Amino acid sequence: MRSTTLGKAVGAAAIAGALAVAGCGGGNGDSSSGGSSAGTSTGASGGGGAATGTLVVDQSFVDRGVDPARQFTPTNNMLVHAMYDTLVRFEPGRTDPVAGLAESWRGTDDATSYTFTLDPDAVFSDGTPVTSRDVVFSLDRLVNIKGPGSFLLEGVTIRAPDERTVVVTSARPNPALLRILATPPTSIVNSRVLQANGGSAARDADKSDRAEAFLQKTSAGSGPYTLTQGQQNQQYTLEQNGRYWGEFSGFPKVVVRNMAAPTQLLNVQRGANEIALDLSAQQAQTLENNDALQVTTDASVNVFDVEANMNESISPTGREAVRRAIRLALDYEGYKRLSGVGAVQAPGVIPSQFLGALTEADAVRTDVEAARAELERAGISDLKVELAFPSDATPNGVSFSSVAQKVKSDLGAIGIDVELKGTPAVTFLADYAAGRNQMSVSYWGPDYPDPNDYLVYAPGAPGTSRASNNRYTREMNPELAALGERAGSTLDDAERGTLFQEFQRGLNEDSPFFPLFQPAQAIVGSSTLSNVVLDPTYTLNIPAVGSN
Amino acid sequence: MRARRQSRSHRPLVRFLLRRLGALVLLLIGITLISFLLTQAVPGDAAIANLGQHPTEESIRAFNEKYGLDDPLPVQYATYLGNLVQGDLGISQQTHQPVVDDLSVSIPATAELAIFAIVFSTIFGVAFGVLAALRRDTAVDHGLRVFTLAGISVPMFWLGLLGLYLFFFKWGLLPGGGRLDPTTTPPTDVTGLNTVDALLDGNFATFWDAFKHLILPGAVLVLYSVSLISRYTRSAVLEVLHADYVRAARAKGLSEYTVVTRYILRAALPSIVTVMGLVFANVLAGAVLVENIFNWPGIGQYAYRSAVSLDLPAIMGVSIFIALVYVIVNLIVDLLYAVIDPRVRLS
Repeated sequence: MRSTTLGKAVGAAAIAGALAVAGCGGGNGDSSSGGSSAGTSTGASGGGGAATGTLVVDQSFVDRGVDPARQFTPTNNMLVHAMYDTLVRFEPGRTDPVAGLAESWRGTDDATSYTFTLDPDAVFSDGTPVTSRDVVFSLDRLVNIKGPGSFLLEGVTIRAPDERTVVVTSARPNPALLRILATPPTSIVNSRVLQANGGSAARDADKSDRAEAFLQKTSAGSGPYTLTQGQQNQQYTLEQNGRYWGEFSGFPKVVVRNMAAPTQLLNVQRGANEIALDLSAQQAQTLENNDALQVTTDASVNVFDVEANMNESISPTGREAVRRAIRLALDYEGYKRLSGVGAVQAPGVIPSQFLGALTEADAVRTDVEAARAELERAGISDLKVELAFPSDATPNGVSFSSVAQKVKSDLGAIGIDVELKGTPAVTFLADYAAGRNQMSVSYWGPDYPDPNDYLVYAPGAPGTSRASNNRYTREMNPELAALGERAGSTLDDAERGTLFQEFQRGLNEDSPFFPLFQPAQAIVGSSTLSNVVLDPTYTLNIPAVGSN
Repeated sequence: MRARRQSRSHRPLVRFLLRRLGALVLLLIGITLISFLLTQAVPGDAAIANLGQHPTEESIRAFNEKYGLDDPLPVQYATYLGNLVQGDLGISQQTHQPVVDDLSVSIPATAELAIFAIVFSTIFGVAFGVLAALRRDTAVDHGLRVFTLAGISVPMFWLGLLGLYLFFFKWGLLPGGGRLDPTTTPPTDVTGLNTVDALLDGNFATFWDAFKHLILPGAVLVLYSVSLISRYTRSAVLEVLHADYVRAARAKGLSEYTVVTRYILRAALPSIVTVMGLVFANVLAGAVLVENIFNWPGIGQYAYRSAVSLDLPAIMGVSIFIALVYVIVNLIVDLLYAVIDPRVRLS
């Protein structure tokens, strides 16, 4: 009897590995620019009565604080969304914008301008009404702080013709703008309170804004919750906003704690109203027969890929025949298995949940013989290549080291000698951003649930993009670059989806990107809870979590 | 005349302290320089590491400007030293808060854990060591040897997970991670030590909750340290156990308790004090693992996060703090030698 207990104990103790980053996923985006006056509640949809007690959410934090304009991590997005409203928002698990602070909106036919009308009932947690002045202040502050989320509104100007109207104008057609305005960095803060506490939205806000420390102690939003205690990298305590202007059906108190995945596995089994966000698919599977828990395992929206440098003077992968051989040699089914039940092959760079995703029929198939033939035809032999990867990162519980080892094995089968170069993420990122890696294993988690976010893969994409990281210039494929631009500015979603599919087929034809798989992602919660759903944008829509 | 003699007799101590403090300043400058150079030698880019997957040129420029990373290296170092003199350790690139503020949260958390670990490991370590020596080559000695060897050999992270599984998950005797239960309101922050602050608040329920949260992570650290102290104590006690003065004490008819505490332990104390310095270092090193397993927001977690995000000001802040701790602990150990053994001169 004793040995059985000890055996179990040792087994549980051996469980290791944390999900470093909870990615985003979602349903097909079906953006409407016609405005919607749907309910303004952020509360639970699809079940649940009034919740009582304290909801405890465990996550492995990537915590950059809860100042909406300075953060852009899954942890902080989740927290900020609970305390602040955005002009539009997403229902749990969805990616089609519905009314938030704006009760209605309309877009111009060329997708360069959106006019929002604010809900007259909307008030901040101190009772003052939300006005267009607050919106202009918040969005200008996001841009001028020049933080990790500032790129979201690059080339965008915000005007307030009157107290309840906001006009957001983009320098170029941007059909993704509406979805961007549902992301937490674009949250609306109480401008009066923030300015009184050092906040600035001026052009030099990157130097003059001093409100971050204030926002770490208290919130200044209009969302369902207020911050009562913020201990960075440790724990955040949120309490119901007594003046919340929408319907409230969440828990009166929520505690979000930083926990390693093995500890989450134990906590969720002992807790009452508890959610674990970082269990691997394998860990979640061990809980499936536990009646006290609800377990959901699905494909994450993160896409793992292998990338190759297009510059021949840097890497042999600059040769087209080498890239074709690599694409055929990778064992895509094997990568799926590596991640566990729930993982799927990524037919393209856009994850299966988003508009414009390729279908399974488009997925590249492994053909080792054809890969060898490609190299033989081109007279290539004795090929050596260095494969860089971040050795200390395990997004969705998948170790980059394991993926890299499998790539080495796959390419070894066609005579390519892969030298593994695992380095800490900080070192990897520096080489990667400078375009110095010959080949890399990487992944992309969406910034916002829209295919436009994947234009970073287009040849010649500006800034620090996936294209620039791999020296993939516009001249290498001007037609594909033009197709990407067309897809990114097309207004009709059906047409946009088709164009993005075409764009990805082009990438699969010849590009430095070899999409591998979308890893499995699990969420586990007490069975007494409702709306325990992995959310594409907010990771977990905290205000929507109620009690059955 | 008597006062002058007294003051003269204190001079070696004062000179000793001044010399050590002077060395401390030089050591700190050396630590900052080495940390700075090592961090620069890492082939990484702090802006890229901290600005997410979509950094724009403008945001990279603003980041480098804000943290002074676009200045030449000597200027960066000189600026850092200038600010350091004023007690400013800079702003952390990962938390965006002053490093001093971050440390003021993480140091008390680790201190609370370290104090718990050191107090209990000293009590049990010395007791086990004396017991093993007095019962040399008996079942007690052999049992304690197995226990102490296991304590030193078993990896801390494994022990932590096992403790969590058994005491929290399986038996529900102790809480899991964190410093307080999610439903407990933290005490008013006075010392940063939750147990002490709860007592100052007069809130015994919070004290008990904080203490219960200390037990598991503390016990993991204690188990390793207790083994170390016990092994050293046993050796030290065995060395003096058959000394003439111990035999003389026993011959005088003194009780065994008095012989052990006044004669044996006193002679063994220098060795025990030496190992205490080592134990302190072990507790700090072990805190990195234990804090991660138990979500304990201390200096270990902070150091780890700073390193993986190449957060130079935070790395420097942690390095300076740890150097300070080591120097102070060594200083205390040296002073204790003189207190314990009058033959030791601080000159």
